[in-house]
Amino acid sequence: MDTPGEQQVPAAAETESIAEFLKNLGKVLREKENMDSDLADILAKHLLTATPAVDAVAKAKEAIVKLAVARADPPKPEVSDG
Amino acid sequence: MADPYFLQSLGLTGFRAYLQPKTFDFSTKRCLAIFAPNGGGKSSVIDALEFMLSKDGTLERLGRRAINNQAGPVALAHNLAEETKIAPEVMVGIVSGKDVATGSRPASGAKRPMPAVATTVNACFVVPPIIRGHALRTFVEVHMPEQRYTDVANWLQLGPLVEVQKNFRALRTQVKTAAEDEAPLRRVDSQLAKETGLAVKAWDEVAVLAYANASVLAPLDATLALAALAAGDPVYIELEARAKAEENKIGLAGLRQIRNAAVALWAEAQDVDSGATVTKGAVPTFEAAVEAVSAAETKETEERGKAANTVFQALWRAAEPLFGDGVPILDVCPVCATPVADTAAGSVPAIREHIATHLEELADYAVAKKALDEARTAANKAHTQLAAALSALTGLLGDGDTTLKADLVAYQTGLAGWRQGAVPASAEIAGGLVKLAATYNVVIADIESKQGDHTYIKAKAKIDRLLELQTDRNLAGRTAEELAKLSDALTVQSAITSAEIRKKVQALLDKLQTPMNDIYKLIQGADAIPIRLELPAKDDTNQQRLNLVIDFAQNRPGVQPAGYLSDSQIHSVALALRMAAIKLFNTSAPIIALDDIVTSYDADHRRTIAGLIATMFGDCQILITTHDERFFNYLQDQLETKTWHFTRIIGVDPAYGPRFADHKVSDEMIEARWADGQSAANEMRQAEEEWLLGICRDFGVSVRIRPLERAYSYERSELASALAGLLKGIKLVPALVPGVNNRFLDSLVKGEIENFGSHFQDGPYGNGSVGDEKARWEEFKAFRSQFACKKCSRTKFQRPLTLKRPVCAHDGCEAQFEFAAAPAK
Repeated sequence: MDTPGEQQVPAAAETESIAEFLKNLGKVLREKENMDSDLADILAKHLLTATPAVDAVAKAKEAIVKLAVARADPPKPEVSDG
Repeated sequence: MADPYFLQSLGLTGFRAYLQPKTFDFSTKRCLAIFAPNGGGKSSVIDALEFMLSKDGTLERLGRRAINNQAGPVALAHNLAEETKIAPEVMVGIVSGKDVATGSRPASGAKRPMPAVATTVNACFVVPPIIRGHALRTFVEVHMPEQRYTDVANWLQLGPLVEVQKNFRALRTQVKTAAEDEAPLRRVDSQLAKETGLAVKAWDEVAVLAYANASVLAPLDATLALAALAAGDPVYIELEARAKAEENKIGLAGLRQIRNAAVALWAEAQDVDSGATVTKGAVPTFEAAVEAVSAAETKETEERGKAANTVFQALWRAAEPLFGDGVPILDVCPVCATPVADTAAGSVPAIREHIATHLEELADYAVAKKALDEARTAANKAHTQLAAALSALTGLLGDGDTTLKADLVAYQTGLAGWRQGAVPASAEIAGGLVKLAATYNVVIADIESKQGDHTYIKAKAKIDRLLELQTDRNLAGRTAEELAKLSDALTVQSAITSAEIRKKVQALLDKLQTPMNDIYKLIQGADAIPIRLELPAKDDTNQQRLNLVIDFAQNRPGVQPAGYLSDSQIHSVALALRMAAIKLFNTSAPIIALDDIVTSYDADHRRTIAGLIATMFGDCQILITTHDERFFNYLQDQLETKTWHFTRIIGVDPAYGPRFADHKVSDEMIEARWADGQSAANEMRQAEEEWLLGICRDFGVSVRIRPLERAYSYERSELASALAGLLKGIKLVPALVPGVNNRFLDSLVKGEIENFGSHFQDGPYGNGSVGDEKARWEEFKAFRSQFACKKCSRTKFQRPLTLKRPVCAHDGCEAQFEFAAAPAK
C-alpha cells in the first residue's frame, strides 16, 4: 500500500524553504481524509516548524494527553427543564 | 543571471592564531592554498570564513563555553589580543562582477553582528561551503548510519527536518508510554482499598458490588441489594429515597441532640440518699437565681432602713478618731464648742458608743447590698443561659412536638420580660420537657439497638463514593483507550511526515548521485563501483538512517560498503557528496573551503584530488589548507598559477602570528624592487632558495631525514650538496654561465653556496650594489634556464624511485632530463 502522503503531497520543490515545507506538511496532515485533525493541529503547532521550542515534545505530549482526556469525558449535553 | 559572489579579501586581526593583521588578497589570484604543519595557524583562515558566515558569530568546533573550559566565543580571540589591546575581528571583501563590498565582524564581546555583506553572500549558500577533514573522518570512522543521516542532512541544510523526525520519534515513544501507563488505575485501586477498609484491594466489579451489598446496605436492611453499581439501579433509587427521608426525619445524632437539649433545660432525678426528686437544668437554675435575688432584695431593704441616717456616715467616721480609746478626752465639741456634759449623750464614753452603733449599721447594709448585686449578676447569667438553651431546643423540635414547642415559645416570651414583670411559670414546660426526654430516650435506645451507627445517609455516601471511584476508573480506562487511538494516529501521521521528509531528502540525494559518483570515480578511478545513497524503505520504523550502498557484484547487490571499501573510499564518498552538492547548489557563490581533507588518502589519491580540483572546480573559488606537503606539491603541479596563490606557513610567532614564506618570489617582484631603487638581495636569496628546494624535490635528491622539530627546514648548503651529488651521480654537468668563470657552479657542486643574496664573490658575506645584484640575478637566471625539459621546455620534473635520472613531469612528455645547453668542458 502506498503511503497516503505520497498521493496528495506534491514533491517538495527544491526551492521551497524548510519552513514552507513543514507548513505545507502540517496542512496536508490536517486536510487529509481519515486523519485525526486535532492531532494534526497539535503536531503542526509544536513539531512541524523549522524552529521548534526546546520543550516542543513535552508540550505536544501534554496537548495530546489533554485531547485524550477531553475525548474520554466529553461535556454532557445540557438538558433543558422544559 | 547575476554575477556570482567571490571573496575579494579575507583579513584576520587578533583572531585565533593571528595576532597582528593579516590579509589574504584574492583580487589577482582567486584561489589560495596554504601549507603548514599542524598547529601552524592554517585552519584559522578557514575559521575566519566560518566565523564571518556563522549566524551565532562562533565556530562549530569551539563548542559551548563551560566553567572548566575556554570554549565558545572567548576562544575566537588570540590569547594576547586583550593584553596587546588589539581588537579581534575578521574582515571580508566580496566581489560580484565589478561590485566590491567589504565588512568586518568583531570577534569579541557579546554582540558580534554579521556585516551586511556576509549576510548577502551567506544567503547564497544552499549548502555549507566549508568542508573540514575531521568532519569527513568522523563520518567515515565514527558515525553509524543514523548519524550519517544527520551528517548528510546537515550538509544539505536539512538539519531542521532531522530535528522534526527526532521529535516525532520521541513523541511517539512518550505517547505510547502514556497510553500504556496504568498508574491512574492503580490510584483508583488504592482509593478503593482505603474506602472498603481493604476488603476490596483492586477493582473488580463483582467484588465491589458484593462489598456494597453485604457491608453497606445489609446492616440497614437485609432486603436491599444492588443488582449493579449504578445510579440507575432500583435499589440505589430506593436508598436515595430512604436517605432523604432520614434526612427529613431525624437521625440518631439529631435525636440525641434534642434529648440533650431538653435535659439541659429541665431534668429530674432521684437523690440517692434522701430519695427526694432533685431538679436541675437551666430552668431550675434560673428560678433559684431569681429567688435568691428576691431574698437579697428584702435583706437589702431591711438593712437600708437601719442605715437610713447614713447621711451622717462621714460625720461618724470623722468623729470616731476624736473619741477613740487612748485619745485625750475632749471637754467641748470640736465643731460647735458645746461642753460635752451639755450634749444629749452627756459624756465622751456615751458619744463613743453612739458612733460605734451607727458604724455597725452601715457595715450590715454594705454586706446586704453586695449580696443583692451578686444575686442579680447570677440571675442575669442564668437568664442568658436559659434563653440560649430554650432557643436551641425550640430550633430542634419538629412537627411532632408542637405543643411543647408552643409552651416553650410562650415561656420564652415571658422570660424576655422577666426584668419588668414576674418570672414565667415553668410547671407546664417542666412536665413537657421531662416527657420529651423520656420519649426520646426510648427512641434512641431502640435505634441504637437496631442499627448502631449505620444510617441510610451514610450508606448512600459510601455507595456514592464507590460510584465516584467507578467513574474515575472508567474515565482512566477511556482516557487510556483514547491515548492508544491517538498513539496509533500519531504513528500514521509520523509515517506520512517521515515519508515526505524522506522524499525531500531522497530527491536531493538522487540529484546528487550522478555528480557525486563522477567525483568519486575521479578520485578512486574509473573502475570504482558507484555508490548509492539510500534511505530506509518506507516500512522501516526508523526513518532516520542513511545507508551507503554499493552493488558490489552481481550476486551481491545493495550491500553495505563498510566491509568492502577502504576508509579512503568511504572518505571519498563523503568528500564527493559535499563537493557535488556545493557545485550543484551554491552557484550564486561558488566558494569552497577545504580544511585538511586528504589525510585518509595515499599519494595517488592525493594527486587525483588535486586533479579533480583542477578539472571540475575550475570555475569555483577554492581555499585549501593542508599539512600534507605532498598534496600541496600536487596542487602546485596541477593548478593554474594564474588563478592560484600558494603559500606556506613556516612558523608561528606567539607575539605575531603565523609567519608566511611565499613559495615563489617572482622575477617581477625582484625587478619591482630595483625599479623602486631598493635592494632585492633578500628576495633573490629567497627566490634562489625556493628554486633550489623545488628542483631538489623534483629530482628526488637524497637528504637526511629531518629532526621532528625542524621537519621542513633544509639548509641551503645541504640542498645544494644533495643536488650536486645527484648531478654528479648521473654524470650531468651544467653549462658554464658566461662571464662569471663558472664560480657559481663550482660552489654549487662543492656545496659551498653561502652568499646567494649578493653578487657572487669571494667574500662570503660581502655587500653588493644594485648593479651587482642585477648581474648576479642574470647569472642565476642563466643557470636556472638550463633546468628545462629539452623536449617540451617545461620546468617540472619527477624522479620515480626506479629511475636514476629525473624525467619531465608532464604526462605527454616524460623525456629524460638533460641540460639544455652543452655541458661544460
